[in-house]
Amino acid sequence: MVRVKNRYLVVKFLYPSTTPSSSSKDVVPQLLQLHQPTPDAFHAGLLLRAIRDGITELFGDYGMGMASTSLKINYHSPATSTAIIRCPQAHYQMVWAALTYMTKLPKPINTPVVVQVVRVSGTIKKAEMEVIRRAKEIILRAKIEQRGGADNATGDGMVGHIVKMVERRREEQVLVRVEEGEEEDDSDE
Amino acid sequence: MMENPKKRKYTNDTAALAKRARFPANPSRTISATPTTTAYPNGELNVSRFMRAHENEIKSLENAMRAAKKGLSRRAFQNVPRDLRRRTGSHNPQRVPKRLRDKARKEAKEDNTPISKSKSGSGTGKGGKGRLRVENIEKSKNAREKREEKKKKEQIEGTLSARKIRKKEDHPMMDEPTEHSAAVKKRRRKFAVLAVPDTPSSRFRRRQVHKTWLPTHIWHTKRATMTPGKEPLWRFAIPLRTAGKAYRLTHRAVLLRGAVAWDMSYMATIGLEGAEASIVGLLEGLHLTDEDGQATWQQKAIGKKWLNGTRVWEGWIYEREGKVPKKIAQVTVVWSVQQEGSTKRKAFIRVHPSAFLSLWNEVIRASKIQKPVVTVEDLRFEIGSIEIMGPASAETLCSVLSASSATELSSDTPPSLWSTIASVTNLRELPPSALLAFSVSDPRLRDPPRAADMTSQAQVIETLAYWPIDKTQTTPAIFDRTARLAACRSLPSQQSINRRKAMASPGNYPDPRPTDPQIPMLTFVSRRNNCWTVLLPWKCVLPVWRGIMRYPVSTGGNPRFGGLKERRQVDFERSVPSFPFDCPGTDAGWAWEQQERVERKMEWTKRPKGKRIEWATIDLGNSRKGEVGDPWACDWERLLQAKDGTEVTAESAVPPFRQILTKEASDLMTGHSVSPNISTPGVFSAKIIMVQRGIPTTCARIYRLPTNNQELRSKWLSLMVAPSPVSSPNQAPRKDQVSRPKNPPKHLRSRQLARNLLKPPQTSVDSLKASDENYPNVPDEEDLIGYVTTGNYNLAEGAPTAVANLGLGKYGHVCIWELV
Repeated sequence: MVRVKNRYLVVKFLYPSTTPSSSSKDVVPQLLQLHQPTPDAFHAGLLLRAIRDGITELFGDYGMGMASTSLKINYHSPATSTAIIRCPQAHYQMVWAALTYMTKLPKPINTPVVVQVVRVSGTIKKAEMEVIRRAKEIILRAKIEQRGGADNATGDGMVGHIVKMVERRREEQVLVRVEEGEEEDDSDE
Repeated sequence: MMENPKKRKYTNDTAALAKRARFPANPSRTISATPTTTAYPNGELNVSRFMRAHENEIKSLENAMRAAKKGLSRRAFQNVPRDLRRRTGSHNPQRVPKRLRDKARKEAKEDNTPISKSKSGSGTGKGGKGRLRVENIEKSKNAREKREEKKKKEQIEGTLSARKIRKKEDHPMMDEPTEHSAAVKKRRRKFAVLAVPDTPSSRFRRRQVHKTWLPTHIWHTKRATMTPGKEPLWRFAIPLRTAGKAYRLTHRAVLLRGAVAWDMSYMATIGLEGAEASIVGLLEGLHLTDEDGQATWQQKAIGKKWLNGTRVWEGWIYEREGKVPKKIAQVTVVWSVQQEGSTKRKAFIRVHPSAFLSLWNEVIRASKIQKPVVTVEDLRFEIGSIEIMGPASAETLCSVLSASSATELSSDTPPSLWSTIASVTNLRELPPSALLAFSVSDPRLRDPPRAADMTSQAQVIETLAYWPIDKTQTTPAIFDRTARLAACRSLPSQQSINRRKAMASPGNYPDPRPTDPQIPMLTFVSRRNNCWTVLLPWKCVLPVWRGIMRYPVSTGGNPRFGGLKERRQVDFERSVPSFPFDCPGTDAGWAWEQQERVERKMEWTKRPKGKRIEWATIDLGNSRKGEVGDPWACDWERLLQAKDGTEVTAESAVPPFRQILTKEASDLMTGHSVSPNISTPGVFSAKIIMVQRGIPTTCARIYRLPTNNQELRSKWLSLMVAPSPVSSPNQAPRKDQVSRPKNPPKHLRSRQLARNLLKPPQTSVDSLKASDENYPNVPDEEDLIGYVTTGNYNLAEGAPTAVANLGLGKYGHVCIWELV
């Protein structure tokens, strides 16, 4: 009996900001904004339907038939905008394409979204571990930026400290090299 | 669809309306996720909530990984409780409880386990035997067809009818025998003939040629180890032990909570019928005594009740002749309550099958002597019995055995008081050897059984105190052959019972009908075995047994069942010698001992040389080598030959000694009784409690304190003085201990502590163990007094004990027994 093999796609729903903001004060909310939670109305069933519609649109009935044999949403967390989707091994790229071509959440919600497939793996265990790793990373980043949140480059946090060090070295190097010659000024700046 | 109101209207939130998920989520395959509204109430986006949401995500994913790992580590058939597990559950999903079948099938498919579909349809089996059976079935079918063809041909040709007519002409009286056949049969019963069991169904006939199956045989084969096919015990196929380990479970079920039941249909019953005086004379001739050897049942009040038929007598029965009567077996004698208008009385004698034949011969001889002759019947295969023991035994019986509707329920009769006895948990509360007899209805009609009502406390106390059944017990129908046969024949088939149950309203039992069988039943409380014994007609044992096994005990679970091993265990825990295993002085016990010798020797020879005890080279100290006597046997011949000096053959069917009652033996030893000459040596049973560690097993040798060697004797006696582990506070300080100040300084304390830690514990210095060098040696063979017949760790006592038999020979009145 031949094994039916699947691929597990780890998917993140990202919400990049539409208004460009360059002020350093928005760094913390920028991380939060990018990884903001999805509304509850977008449940696993809706996501599945969206994928199916996408595949039909892109690859037609053939694609729909091939890809939806073992298409299943293993995990979908709206609070963290993460999902693990299972699809057949031979046609995982169709599902990936359908996800990539999703520009906004389906009908009732209609918010613009970027669907990023973060990892493809053959076992769900590795997919779960990837989600855990990313979640840990995000928590760490959020923590750092929260600590250095009040005042960023000028603050006492780690980022502020690093910025200060960089600035100081730059100043030293600039000060040192000014005496030697003009050609080196360009390269330092 | 809108026009037809019957069609279900599909709404969008059908899933939300559904009360129960159609496909319940498997916990090992789902990952839980929190919805956004719980993670971010009020919809605000702050960092702490963000972090918490991601932390929860990590937690739920880790849980999912753990659950998936656990889910794979146990297969479906491993989640089954121990007593429901079947060996073929791993590759046959049908042998697994229904709730796990789908899972088992999925798992088997996933890892390519070949699912074996058993090809043993219609009980033929697999392999060579199966093929033979199939061939035999075909053969018998062909033979049957040929016979039928032959008959048809002859009928057509008219030869058979011609023969018939000729017969009728020659013997005009030929019709009469058919009318008189009943009478002829009855008259033939006068000669006491050994009973023959009913011919079993053809499928199983070949296996019951040299043995008989118990009525619950097939039920037991699936759950217990039975006697091997070619080696039945006492010509019955008896369950030896339960399939799963049950030593402690049986102990707890019998003493603490629950119940244990045995199918004792192999106990033989002898029916006596005749005038009361002649039956009494017969029993007296056979020296029927009770456990203590007193035959005074005619003087005691309980003897009167027994004669009336409201009590049961348990005791020993002896051979008729001989200056010192020889024991045959332990028996139970039940009288039938006298029927009005009839001078004949009936009685049953119940005996173990190992002693049945000798008792039967004795009874026949004794019956012929009585003046109005006593009719003796062999009822071995007509009356079966179930014994049940434990705190839940009374409620089980009360629920399963319910009085049939035809019996009138006037107050104080056994059927009406039966339901009140359900709350009795200790059998000692009931009057000793009390008995109840009435007709019960088919237990299959009241299946599945319901828990008995145990609330009538006040009424129970009154019943137990006055026991009105002594006055209201009517003649039990079980003594009547027609009643027994009627019950057996009118047992409806399982199909008809199922139909009736289907027709009854849900939750109720089917209504009783006048055509229902009335099963005659007799129950008594056995003081000797501490159990309820239920006597039933042979064919009715199986429905009652199934009812008992399905009864929901009020404290949880179902009653357990036991085999021969559990029976012996239960007797051993009460330190009661069980017949015939612990009575080597009787014929039955001696035969058992001979059997066991062979078995033990074979077991020992089977083991490889490095893993068995070499009896021939055991060092007994003082340059003695080798175990005394035959190491696989309780060598009674050697023990009693040495004292006697007479020739004792090893392979005699009859033991060269007799079994003495314990009371008699103790009287003899203490010199209280004036006994006749002890011509033949004898053995009596004794209980042994171990002082130190070690568990005595069967055939262990028992020695008395050495009589000739004083030094050895004092050494052994010193072992008895055990040091107290807790020293008394008033003990005077020893001379070699310096009195310490109350609060020694730190360095002294640590020194003391180190000394205590390095010193071995004090108890080992004082008491010697068997492995020590200075442990006293085994006494000589002249001090050998007996052997252990059953020994084990006694859970009821919390210490290893043994039931042993000690020899008492000519020297009995000379030796001094020190009761230590």
